[in-house]
Amino acid sequence: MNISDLSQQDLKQQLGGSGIYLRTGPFVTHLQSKIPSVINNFAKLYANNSLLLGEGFADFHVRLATPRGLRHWYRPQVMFHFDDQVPFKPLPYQQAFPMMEWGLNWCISNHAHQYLILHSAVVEKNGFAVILPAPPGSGKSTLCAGLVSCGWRLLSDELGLISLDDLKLVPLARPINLKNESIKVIKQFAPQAIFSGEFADTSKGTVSLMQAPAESVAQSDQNVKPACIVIPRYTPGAATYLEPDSKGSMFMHVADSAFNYSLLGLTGFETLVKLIDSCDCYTFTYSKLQEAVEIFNQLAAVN
Amino acid sequence: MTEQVRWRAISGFALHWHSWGKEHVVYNTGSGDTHLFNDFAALILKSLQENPATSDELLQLCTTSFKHDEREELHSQINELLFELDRLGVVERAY
Repeated sequence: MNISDLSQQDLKQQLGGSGIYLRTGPFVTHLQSKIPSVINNFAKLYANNSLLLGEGFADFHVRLATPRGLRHWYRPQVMFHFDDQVPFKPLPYQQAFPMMEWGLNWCISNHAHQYLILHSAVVEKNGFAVILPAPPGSGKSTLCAGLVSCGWRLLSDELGLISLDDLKLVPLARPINLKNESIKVIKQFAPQAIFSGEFADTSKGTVSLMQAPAESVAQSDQNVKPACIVIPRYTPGAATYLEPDSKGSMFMHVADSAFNYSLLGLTGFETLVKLIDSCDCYTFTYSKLQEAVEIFNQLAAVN
Repeated sequence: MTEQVRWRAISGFALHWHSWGKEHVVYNTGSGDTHLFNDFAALILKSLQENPATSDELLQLCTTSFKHDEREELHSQINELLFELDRLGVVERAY
């Protein structure tokens, strides 16, 4: 059963009551909230995700709620509850839905240590999987959104999960987090895509989330072998340029961008060595999204 | 004449290596840190893993492995490297 199979009224009742058990990739999240913007945006962006019926095991128990007291009424805020703990300071009430997304990222990156977790987008076409590790502002999510709008499969926008057992990429097809100018760019580039509302004045500026393609969500159980690691760099006015990168410097870059490389110790080192060994490594400069997609299509075609 | 310091790779912890051509990554199980070294640093650190050595002895090793016209300059580079490796916690003084 998918989220879209529930009526808006049923979803509201379940989220506001005992909660729902949402499957995203390998994880099940027990989610509760009575906040209308969470319910409405969740219904829109997670429509294709599956729902587990009845109460069962959940990896994460998450609740978004307004605090009691003055802040429920005056300049209202929202709090993220994880296993009945509150790991973050509250945010303005209007930012409840992005807070849910950031909180879910936090749940995974801080607890799912059965994976090497890279701060990266991951996309795939015809079995050719590309890891895009990059810091905020590099154009990673814009490129990722552009690629999945042109037939690439989304495995993740933010958290690249590498299985420690077989080194395969584990899909986690969740909404793509777009920021500031990239919102307009992607809305023009992919007018058919489904977006959340826009949330202004967050710590990342204005953010909006784009729904993961239904086909990507449907393939959430299909792990894939990584083939290529590309560090994207959006540079206004720059020519589109794909350049081989050395494996040593890529190793250090990916290690720096991983959430749990240090925590995994020697296992993290050995896993990353195997990953870098098995992948071609590039840096990629771009300013025009259509050209960027064409380069990636060519890369997929020759591999 | 003062006696030269004898250096060795850290004891009690392992250094794990992997190399791609002239790039070498090293994982230190003691600190949990990973370092990227070039051939020069890798040669010296691997040598110190096998046997403790002074900078003079390392100079002999390097002159046979690297073409370098200026012995003084090479000696200076070795001392700087030893200082850096010590700072990174992958070598220590062998007493």
